[in-house]
Amino acid sequence: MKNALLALFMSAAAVGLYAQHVTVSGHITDSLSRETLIGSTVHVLGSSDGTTSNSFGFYTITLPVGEVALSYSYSGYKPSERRLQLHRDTVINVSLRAKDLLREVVVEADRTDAGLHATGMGITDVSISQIEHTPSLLGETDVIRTLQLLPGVQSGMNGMAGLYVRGGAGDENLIMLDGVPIYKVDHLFGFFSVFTPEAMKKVTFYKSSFPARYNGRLSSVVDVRTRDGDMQRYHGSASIGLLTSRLNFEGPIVKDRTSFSLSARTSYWDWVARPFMPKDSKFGYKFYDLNAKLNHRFSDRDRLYLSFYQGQDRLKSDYEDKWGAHDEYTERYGDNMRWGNTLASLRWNHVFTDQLFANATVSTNNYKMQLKSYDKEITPAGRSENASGSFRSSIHDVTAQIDFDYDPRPQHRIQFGAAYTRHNFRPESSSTEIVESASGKVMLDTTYAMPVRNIPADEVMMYAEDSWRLTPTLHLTPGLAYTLFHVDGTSYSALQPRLSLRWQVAEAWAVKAAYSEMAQYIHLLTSMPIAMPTDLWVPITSNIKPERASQFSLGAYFTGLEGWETSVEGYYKDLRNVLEYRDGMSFFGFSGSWENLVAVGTGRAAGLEFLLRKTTGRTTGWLAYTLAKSTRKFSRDSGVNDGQRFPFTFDRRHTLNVVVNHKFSQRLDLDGTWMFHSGEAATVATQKGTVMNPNDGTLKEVYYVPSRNNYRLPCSHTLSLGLNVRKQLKCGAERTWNVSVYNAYNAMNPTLVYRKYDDWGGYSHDKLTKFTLLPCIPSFTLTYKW
Amino acid sequence: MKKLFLLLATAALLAVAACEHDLDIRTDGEQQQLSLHGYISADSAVNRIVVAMTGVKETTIVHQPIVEVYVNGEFREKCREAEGGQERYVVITTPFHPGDRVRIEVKTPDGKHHAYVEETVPQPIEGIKSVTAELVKDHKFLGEYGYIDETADAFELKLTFADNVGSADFYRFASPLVEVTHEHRYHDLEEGYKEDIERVVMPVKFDCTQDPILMEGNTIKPSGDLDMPTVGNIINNYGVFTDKLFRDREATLCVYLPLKFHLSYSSMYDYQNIATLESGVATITVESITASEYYYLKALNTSESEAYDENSDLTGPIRLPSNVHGGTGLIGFSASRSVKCILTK
Repeated sequence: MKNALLALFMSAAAVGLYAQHVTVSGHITDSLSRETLIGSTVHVLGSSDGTTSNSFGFYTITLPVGEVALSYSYSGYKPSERRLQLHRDTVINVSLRAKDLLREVVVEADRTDAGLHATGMGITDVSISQIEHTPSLLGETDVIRTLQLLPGVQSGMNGMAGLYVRGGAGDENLIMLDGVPIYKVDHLFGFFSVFTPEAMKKVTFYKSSFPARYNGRLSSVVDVRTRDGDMQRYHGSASIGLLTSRLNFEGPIVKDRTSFSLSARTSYWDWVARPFMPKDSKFGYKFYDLNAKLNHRFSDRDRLYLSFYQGQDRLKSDYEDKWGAHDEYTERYGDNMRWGNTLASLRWNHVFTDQLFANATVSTNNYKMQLKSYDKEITPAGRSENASGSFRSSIHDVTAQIDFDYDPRPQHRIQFGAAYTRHNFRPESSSTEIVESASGKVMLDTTYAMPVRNIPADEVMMYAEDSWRLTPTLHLTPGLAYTLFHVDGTSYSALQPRLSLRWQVAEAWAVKAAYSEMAQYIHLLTSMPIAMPTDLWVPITSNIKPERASQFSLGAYFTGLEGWETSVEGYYKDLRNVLEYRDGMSFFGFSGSWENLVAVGTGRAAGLEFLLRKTTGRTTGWLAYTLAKSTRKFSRDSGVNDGQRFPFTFDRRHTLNVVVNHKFSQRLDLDGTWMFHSGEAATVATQKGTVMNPNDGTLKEVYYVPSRNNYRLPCSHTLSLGLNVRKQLKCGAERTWNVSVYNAYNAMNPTLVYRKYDDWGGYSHDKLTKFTLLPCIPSFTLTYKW
Repeated sequence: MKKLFLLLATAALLAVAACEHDLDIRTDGEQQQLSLHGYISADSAVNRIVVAMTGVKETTIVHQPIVEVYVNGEFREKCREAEGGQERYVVITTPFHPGDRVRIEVKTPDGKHHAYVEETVPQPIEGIKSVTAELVKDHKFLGEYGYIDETADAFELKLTFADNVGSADFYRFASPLVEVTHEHRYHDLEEGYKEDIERVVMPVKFDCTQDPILMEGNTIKPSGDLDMPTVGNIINNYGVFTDKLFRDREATLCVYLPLKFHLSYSSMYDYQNIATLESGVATITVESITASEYYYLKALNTSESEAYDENSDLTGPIRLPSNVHGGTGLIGFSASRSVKCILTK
């Protein structure tokens, strides 16, 4: 009884103490456009207390009553301070002003929820400014190509916009647009990503310390947020380049209440080239992206966002052949192929109390690939044969999600939520119709159709995470996610603990550690190192278990030199149930019995990443070095590499990236990147062996591959430069000429190697052919901003 | 369709002015490996395997290898090379039975290389319950992209058998043994056109492109004359399949045997070898095979397919599966059931 009374007293005392705290909350926005600023820092001057704004620019912080001074900051913006006498919960909306352009800090990620001062490690905010200042292939500024310059990231095949993070596979990245996972993230076989820089507000990249709200992939998260639209004035930009043209327009519908943002990008090589093609042979390729967003502010407590994205690639060919003595025979044939994503999401932000923020999302995601072909043959006798066919593949997801931010005490920031997704996979369906007729009479009309296979799947996710300041120098973020995936009558569930720890050893020194567990329920079926439209996402099955990954990371960070940041991070990743095609098996465009083609094994990846970054001044940039090793191992019976451990595809031991951005003046700046990779692992037939025909026992000599990824390609290095020349026009618009050179000194980097043919048409026994995909390629882009 | 994609991908790649250069292949440190090959049948009194070494420039047959056979852990036989013209082969006379755990140890005479295979002889099916053969007119033989290779008369063979219950099984529909008239026509410089005709019993090729079991659910659809949107299916020339589509149930396979086909042909050297199926008895066999043989022959189907070209294919060279520990190659084990079937023209 005595103990119970004591406990009651202590609880009352705790409540009493807690009652002396109040909450400050609000939105942090751009002073001109009212665009919300994601990841802004709110710092209590004279203490180590602070918080950051969430994905909707909302912040909340619980503080003791009394006088307090708050500092609001965001990279590229002038900090703002507020002194308050707190005696009750208070709403403070803050507008920050962008810094003078000349002094703009090009590289961001400082003092936000990413970067050195965050509890999490391996998290980087990539500013749109940085993406725009990364020299690019054909002038197409690209998020993924900028991410490739960060430590721990590999590009995959040389020159491609692939993403291979810390020894993970290409399908292990959760890439989201406004919170909705996107399946097909590239155009033109993987050269460019689907993200239009003008439409984007912020990109956050996670390769470790995964927040508990992110689930479903093993190796990384790329969270792309689009612009909400200016609440105050209309403005936009238009640019024209060698490959695409882009247009962006945004402004208020009702000032300070409702705004819109529209962005479009389209390639036009097809339009330019088609008129010059011969009439009987037309071939074309094009792609486009369309982003649209509506943003309505009901009050300081309620906001609504409606986002839409559609992107598509299209390949079309039409041919006509005529033959016979008087060209009396005609054959017309061709293909029309389209593939792409359509995403839509409706999000509602509601501030329940000053301590509790909620975001409810309903979204739909539709990926479709469709190929239609035709072949029509007409003969003079009135006979005709028409063949037409189609091949389709699609995924349709509908998701409902609720997320909460709860700040009950100064030391805690709790995030929790849940989501349900209904997936509908339709990996393939096809049909062919053949109609033969003579003199107007149908002789044959047959349709061959593959049964449509729908694979519905249900996915449930729940998570909770607490960002907990244990002491002024020790910060801990424990989190837990639970996922459940139900497909084909089988349910899989996974508990995925996450833990991040930051210890501020000294003013300029911090040490961080992190542990993350991740689970993945879908796989991308592809045999190609480039992105093919036929690549298919398929869910796990009753026989193939979810892939799992555990990652340990440890890092040290130093910010003692003004304008410089240094970090060293090490990681070890343990992968389980990873998939590889069995030896000799591959996926040639169909998913029918894919389970038989793959084997399940383990993998491990380890690495050391060094980053030196200059963040302020006329010259900014970074140097990133990665020492990495990634291997896979399968059981002897799996049929993969005889059970021997082998280097993972695109395993490269050393990677060095240098990024330099220099501003000569308001009008002129120069950007440069230099990428160096030691040779990647590739599979090459280095010997000769035999095969035996089972029918008659005859032997045949063939080239023999001793083991998987047995060969190291030569190292590769690429220098890319970009020059921007700006001019303020009399009409008020700004004109920018960008001249870029990709692979400036024309390094002949190996993209592929294969055995050379000798003069007799056979294979050379001692030579390989090195195929270089991207030599020196200059480009220009003209942009107007108004 | 894969060809179309590759064409488009290649076009896209070439559009940005790709370049090619030669590189020397680094073969330092390449280790030769023992290469074992053979298809051992539990129904055969004598089996044979080939022992060779892989090599950077060529393969070499290993003479007088030390080959020992163990069954269920007991030593059974030290094998010898076949005499005479078949010196390449090592003869195994140990009888094998379904369920036997067989280990074949192989060493080079100098003892430097050692490899072994250990497998369990599969259980045969209970039997082929029925088989029919019917002559069909103008059967369309399809290529991998659905185009019509040839329209010709053919025997339609249908056979029914039951899956081995309670296990995941791997099977092979062996090329039927049929009596054929073999015509060898050639041009002799002195004697002009000559024709040698003989009757032989030989395994004949079959068309399984329409059979869902042999094509593992992905039959090839006719596509007119061009590449239509049939996926680039690989034709199962070696007839391997699993029981995935008929686990613990009966299956009926349907294949077509062309009445006449070219064994070999050369316009440059002016000769052709033509086989014509004769009315008579055909031997139809379904083998139960090991998983490793299934994957090996499936990979061979791919490597010999027109849908795959090692040099233009972005997937790279095929690494053939192996069940040889400490070496490479494949020694398959099978147990089969056969029936006779009358072919009537």
